[in-house]
Amino acid sequence: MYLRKEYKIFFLLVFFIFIFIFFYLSLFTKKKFEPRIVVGNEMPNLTSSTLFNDQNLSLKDIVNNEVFVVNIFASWCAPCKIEHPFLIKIKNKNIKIIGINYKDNKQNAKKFLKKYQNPYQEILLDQKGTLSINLGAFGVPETFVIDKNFIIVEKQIGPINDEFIKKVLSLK
Amino acid sequence: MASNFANTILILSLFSSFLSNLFFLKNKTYLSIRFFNFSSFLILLSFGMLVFFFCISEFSISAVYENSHTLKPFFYKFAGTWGNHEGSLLLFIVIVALYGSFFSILYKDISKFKSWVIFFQNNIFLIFLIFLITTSNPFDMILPKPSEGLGLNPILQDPLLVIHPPFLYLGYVGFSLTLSLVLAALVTKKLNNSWANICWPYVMASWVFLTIGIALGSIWAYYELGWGGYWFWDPVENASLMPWLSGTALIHSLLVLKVRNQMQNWTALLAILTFSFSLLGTFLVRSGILNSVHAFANDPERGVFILVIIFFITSISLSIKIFYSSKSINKNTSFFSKESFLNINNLFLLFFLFVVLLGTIYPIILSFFGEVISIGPVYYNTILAPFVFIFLLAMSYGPLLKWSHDNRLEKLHFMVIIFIISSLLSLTIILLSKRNELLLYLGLTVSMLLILTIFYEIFKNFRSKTTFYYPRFLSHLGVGLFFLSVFLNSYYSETKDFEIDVGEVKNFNNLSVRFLNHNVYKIDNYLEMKTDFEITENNKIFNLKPSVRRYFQPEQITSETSIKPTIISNYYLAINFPDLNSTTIGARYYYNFFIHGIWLGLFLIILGGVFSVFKKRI
Amino acid sequence: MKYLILFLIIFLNNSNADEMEIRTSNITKNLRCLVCEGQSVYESNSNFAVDIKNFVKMEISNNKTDDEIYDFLRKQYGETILFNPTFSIKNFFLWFAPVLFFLIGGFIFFRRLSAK
Repeated sequence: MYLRKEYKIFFLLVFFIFIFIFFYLSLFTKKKFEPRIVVGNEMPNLTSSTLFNDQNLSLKDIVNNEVFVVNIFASWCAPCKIEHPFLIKIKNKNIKIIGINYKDNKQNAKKFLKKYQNPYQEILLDQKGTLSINLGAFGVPETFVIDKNFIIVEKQIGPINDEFIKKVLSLK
Repeated sequence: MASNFANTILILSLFSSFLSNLFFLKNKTYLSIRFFNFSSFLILLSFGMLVFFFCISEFSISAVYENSHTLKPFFYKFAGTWGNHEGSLLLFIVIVALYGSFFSILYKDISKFKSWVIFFQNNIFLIFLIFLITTSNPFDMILPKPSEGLGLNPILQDPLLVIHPPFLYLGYVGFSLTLSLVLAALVTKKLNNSWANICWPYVMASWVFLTIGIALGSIWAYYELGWGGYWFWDPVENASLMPWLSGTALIHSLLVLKVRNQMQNWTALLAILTFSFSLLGTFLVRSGILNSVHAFANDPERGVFILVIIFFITSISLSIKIFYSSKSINKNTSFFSKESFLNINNLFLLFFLFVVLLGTIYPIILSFFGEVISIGPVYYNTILAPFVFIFLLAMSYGPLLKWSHDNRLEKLHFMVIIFIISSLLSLTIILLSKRNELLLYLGLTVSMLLILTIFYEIFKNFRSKTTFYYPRFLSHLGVGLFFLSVFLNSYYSETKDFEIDVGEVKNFNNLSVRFLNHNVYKIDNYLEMKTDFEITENNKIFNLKPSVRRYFQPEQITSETSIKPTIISNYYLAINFPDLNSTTIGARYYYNFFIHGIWLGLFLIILGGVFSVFKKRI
Repeated sequence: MKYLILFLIIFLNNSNADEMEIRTSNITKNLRCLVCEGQSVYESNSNFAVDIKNFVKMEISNNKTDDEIYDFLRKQYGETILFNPTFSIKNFFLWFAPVLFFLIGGFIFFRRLSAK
């Protein structure tokens, strides 16, 4: 307990240098949260009524044993318009895209698809945002890639691009 | 032109501060103090110039250009001076200088001690001035002179937020003088009770300012954020709470030093800690290390500079303390004595400080290991609540005891009687209101215990006509009232969250809300949507008119709540900015019970502090 | 003894009419709105927060326990979404350190008191 003063000061400085380094490094560490945590999870078998007819459909009714893409969109969402051409590209590669129409007005959604073409195999309605939560989504647009074993293998927040399409194709 | 002139003054001030150091080293005490005061005058002048440039919108000055706009109301142009990093740093330095100069004027005795105090204060001043000039000079020139500014953060355009930072700074920075006083006392071996008497008013004044600053922040959050609450355990709020807790501990240990000439080392340590936490608070807020509603976006480079300053000042101070400290005088005291309970007070306050610190930086530590967690109110409430109960118990009992030794039984009997009264009172309250919850019961009991004890003491004092120590009565009464209101508020308040269309009526238990109309206005630099709601609660009908504003320069949405106060509560309504593709509007209605008690409690705490600044003897 | 029983009766007999609403607000106060800065789901009215609120209500009416709801959301969004840090190894220090701090502080206090 009765250290000499010089030693005390020395230990104190060493201690402070450690704390300093800690703060210094954390100042430059990116503060990330975990938007990709669902990657690797099993895809929930989402069930809902669809945009074009009122019957209830589940994902497994639409796809089986194939790689497919799930895209959350809404007619009121501006970035969705930006990513639309890329969705068309994916569709043209013969990969099924399931749309999840997020908190949208049915009429507006139909108009939107008429105007920009419809890339979706089926469109499940998500009026209350429940499907999105089951997907671990934060908002619109978000896009998921699911493999043959029904596992989520890739996810993108915000509009997709050519790079994303490459990833999808490599998985096929 | 303007820029050159202002910069010259800054440099002169720096130069004069160097000279002050030089004369100190040459043992020319008088000159050293003179030059410190001169540089303090110059810095005040340069701050005055910055204020002037803001008022006349002189956009060739970078700080003005980046943070002001011709469309701003005059008051906010003026207040914009410290609504940004550079200006607020200059204000910080001005306050360092003013505290030093005030001390040099008020403390007449030109001694070794005084010159050391000014020396330390001058160096704190110097460090920050160098920081200002090298990294964040508000007077940088912009050529050619822009015709329009970039605007002031609209969320800062609020009268409360205009006066909140200066008070906070007066508090934070006041503790720099405390630090200088402690270091000087250590070096000149004067750390004793007469020293404690010298620094008491400065410590109390800083503490009062800090308390006012925090209270204003809390009031602002309540009226402006529209979340119905007054404290969110947000990291930035925590950053201001930490120096407050350690400052409060400092006051209580200073009291022991004053009266009993004990706890020298501990008091010195607390003084150093308090200023370090003030700086840490500035660092956490300014560096962008935190995710928070209040955090100013800033680059990490400045953060590094502040970090270096913190560690420089703290380690030098602690080294001085270790090097010069002698063993504290230890007098024989029993557990049942005032000083032992003041120790307990320190233990609890530092414990609270530790919890707040841990909760604030733990996410930073984990993010370092790639993990991300959030620490919210639940953590603090869970850990702190049981300790707050014991703290309030000790707070009621401790002050009744005499210094050194006391007959415990007599006072314990008395405590038991008051405890029974207050526990019966709170039992009645919870039974009548049908909120039978153990935590509420305990909370009400201990806070009423504190209030009743103080009423008893005041009564006793009046009868015996002994010295009437009102500062403590007021502050402690404030604490009791504050906690009583916090417990009542958190258990009896109600919230309703709903979407509503124009003309629609929402019915809840004994409440109905009718959305009458809404109108959009274009005012100077924002669009405002005003609404009108008719509320019927328990057969009382009144109107609430909340609004939302959308500012343009820069774009931001703020919420103006509408509050109807009654004697015991607030009816509080806030709306969200309307969603463009829906006709409904999201609204939140709060019934805030006993919120006035919280403000009144804070007011009493502050009032006690103010009296204590001017009262010489305890 | 009689008082103790009376005491227990008072505090254990805790029934609330509006249980659903209270549970929803208690749970959502503990959830961080991930798309906002520093707000809880309870306080925020962003799309994300509204979805989570609806979801919590739905799960409560499906007779899920609080823990089940928290667990599900943690699986979907990571631990960031919980304002109340879990009792796990990485948070051990967070919960344990304050207790340790208080014990050490108390120990020092009593030692100083007895050591003349």
